[in-house]
Amino acid sequence: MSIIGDVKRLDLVTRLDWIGTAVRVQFGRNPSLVLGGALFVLLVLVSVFAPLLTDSDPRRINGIVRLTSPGGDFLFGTDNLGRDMFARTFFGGRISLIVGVSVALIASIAGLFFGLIAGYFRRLDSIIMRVMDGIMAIPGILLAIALVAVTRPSVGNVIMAIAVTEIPRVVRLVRSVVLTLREQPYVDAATSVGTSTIGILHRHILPNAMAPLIVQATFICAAAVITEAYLSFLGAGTPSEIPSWGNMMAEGRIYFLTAPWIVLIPGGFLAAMVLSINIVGDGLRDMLDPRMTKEL
Amino acid sequence: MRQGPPPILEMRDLAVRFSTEAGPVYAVNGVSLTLREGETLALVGESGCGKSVTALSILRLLKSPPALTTQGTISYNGSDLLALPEAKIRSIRGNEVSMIFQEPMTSLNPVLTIGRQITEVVAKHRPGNRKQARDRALHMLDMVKIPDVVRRYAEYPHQLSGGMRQRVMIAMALACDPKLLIADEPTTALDVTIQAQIMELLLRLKEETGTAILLITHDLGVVAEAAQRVAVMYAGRIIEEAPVAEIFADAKHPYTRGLLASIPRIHNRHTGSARPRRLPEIPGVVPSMTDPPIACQFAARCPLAAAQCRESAPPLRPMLSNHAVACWNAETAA
Repeated sequence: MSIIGDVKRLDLVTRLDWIGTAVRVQFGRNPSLVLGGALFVLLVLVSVFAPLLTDSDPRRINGIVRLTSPGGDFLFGTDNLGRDMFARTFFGGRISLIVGVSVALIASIAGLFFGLIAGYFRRLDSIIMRVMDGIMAIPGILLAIALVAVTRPSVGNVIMAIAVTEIPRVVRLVRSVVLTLREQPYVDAATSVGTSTIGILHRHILPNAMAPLIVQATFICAAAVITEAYLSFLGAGTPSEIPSWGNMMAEGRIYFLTAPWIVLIPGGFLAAMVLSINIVGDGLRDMLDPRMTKEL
Repeated sequence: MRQGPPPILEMRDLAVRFSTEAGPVYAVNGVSLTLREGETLALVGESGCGKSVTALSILRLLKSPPALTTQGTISYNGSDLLALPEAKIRSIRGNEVSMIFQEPMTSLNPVLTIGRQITEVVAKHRPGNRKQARDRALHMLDMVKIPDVVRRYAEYPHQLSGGMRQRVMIAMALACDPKLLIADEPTTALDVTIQAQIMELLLRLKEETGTAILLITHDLGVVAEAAQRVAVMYAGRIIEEAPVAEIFADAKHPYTRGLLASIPRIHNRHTGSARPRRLPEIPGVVPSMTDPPIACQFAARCPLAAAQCRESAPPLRPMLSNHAVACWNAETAA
C-alpha cells in the first residue's frame, strides 16, 4: 500500500526534477533551442491574446486614415482601406498558427497511422507506399491550389489541402523508423511474454518512434505557415475578409513603393515565426538524438 | 526406464528451414526432446548448430518468412504449440512458458521504466487490478535480489548494469510462475562474476518455484553446474543425450568427446608436465547447412569415421536406459 504511494511520489518527483534539470541543461548546451522557443512562445502569446492587446477591429474600414505611416495612433500604420495594421497583424498570426499547428497535428497523426501499418504489416507496405509515392509526385503547392479550387477558400480547406501534401513525408519517416524498431530484441522479448500486436505497436514501437516524429512535426508546422501565406498571397488560401499574413501582403503589394509597411510588417512576423519554429525543430533534434549533438 | 515426473514438453521430429537468397538453409533437422516437470535440460552445441532456433520455435518466435517449420510437433501439456491459434499461444507466452534472451542490454524497451514492463506482463496474464500487478512486480524485483526496489522500479533500462538488466529479464520471465522457462544463453553477454551470480539466482529460483528449465548454452561449465540432463546438438540434430554425470564421465559420441577434451584445464603440478600441453581441438568446420550431407554430419571431422559413416546418417539410438547416441561407432568407441 505505502510502497505504491512511494513509487508514485518518486515517479512525480523524478519527472519534475527532470524537467527543471532539462531546461537548465539545454540552455547551457543548446541556447538556440531555448531562445527560439522563447521567440515562438512570444509570437503565440501575442496572437492568442490579440483581442487583449488592441481594442480596434482588424476588419473596420476607415477611408480617412488610409495608408497612415506607422507610429502615432496606429503603431503599425494602416493599410489601403485604413484598417489598423497592428490589430490585423496579431489577428493574422492566429490564422498562421492555427494552420501551422493543425497541419502538423493532422499530418503527424495520419502519417503515424499509415507509417506504423506500412512498417509493421509487410503485406500492406507496398500498397500504402505506392499511394504515398503517387501523392508525392504532385508538387505540393499545385495540389493545394487544386484542392482549394475545387472546394472554396476557407481556413479548414487550406488546412486539409496542406496536410494532404505533407502526409507522405511523415509516412516515409515513420515507416523507416518502424522497420528498424521491429527488429529490436525488446520487441521479440515483448512477443515472448505474450504481448499482442496492438500492444507491441502501442507500447514498444510508438514511444520509440516519437522523437523523430516530433522533430518532423515542427518542420511541417513551419512549412505549413509558409504554404498558407503562399496560398493566401495567390488568392487561393484564406478568404480575404479574414486577415492573414499572406493576404495582407497580397493586398499591400501594389502599394509597396508608397506604403512598404503593409508588406514588411506581416512579412517580418511570418519570417520570425517560421524561423523560431525551425530553430525549435533543430534544437529538438539535437536534444532527442544524442548522435547529432555537436559536442560528441 | 526411470519413472520420473510427467513430461511437460515433448518435441517430436522438429525441422526448421530458412529461405535465403542462397537457397534454403536447413537449421534444424528432426530434433526430439522431452522435458519433465521441474527438470533442467541443457541443450549444448557450438554457434550455428540450431539450438537457438529450436528454442525460439517452441514459442513460435521465429519470423515467418524466412523461417518455416516443415515438420514436427511440440506438445506442451497435451496441446501442440505449433498448431495453436495465435490468441491461444499468446496466452501461453510469458504465462506458462517464458523465455530469457541472450542480450540483456537490448531486450528491455529503453523508453519504459523496468517496473512498468514487468507490471504489463503480470496485468496481461493474471487476474487482479493494476495495483496488485504492481505489487507482484515489486515482489519479483525483490526476488531477483535487486536492491532498493522502490527506486529501481521507476528507473529506465539505461540506468541499470547488464547484470541488473538480466535480473529484470528473469523477474519478468518468472512473474507469472511459468511451468517452463527457456533460457537462451542467459549468461553469454555478461562477465564471469556476473555469470556466476545469474546462474546461482536462476538455480535458486528454480528450487523455489519448481519451474522446468530448458537451458541453451555453449558453456559446458554452466551445464555441469546447472543441468540434470544434457542434449548435445550438432548441425541441426541431437547427437547425444544423457544425464549430466554420464556425459562428463562417459561420453559416447566423438563430437561430445572432442568438446569435453577441448575444455582448458589448469594442470596439476604432480603430472610433471613442464610446459602447458596444446589444447586439443576438433579438426575441420561445421558443414554448410544449405546443402547438408545425407551421411553422418560429423563424418568429415571424425577420427573414427568409417565407410558406413559416409553413406548414411546414424539415428539417435538408446545405448543405456537413459543415454542415447547417434553414432555408428558408439559401441566400438565405448
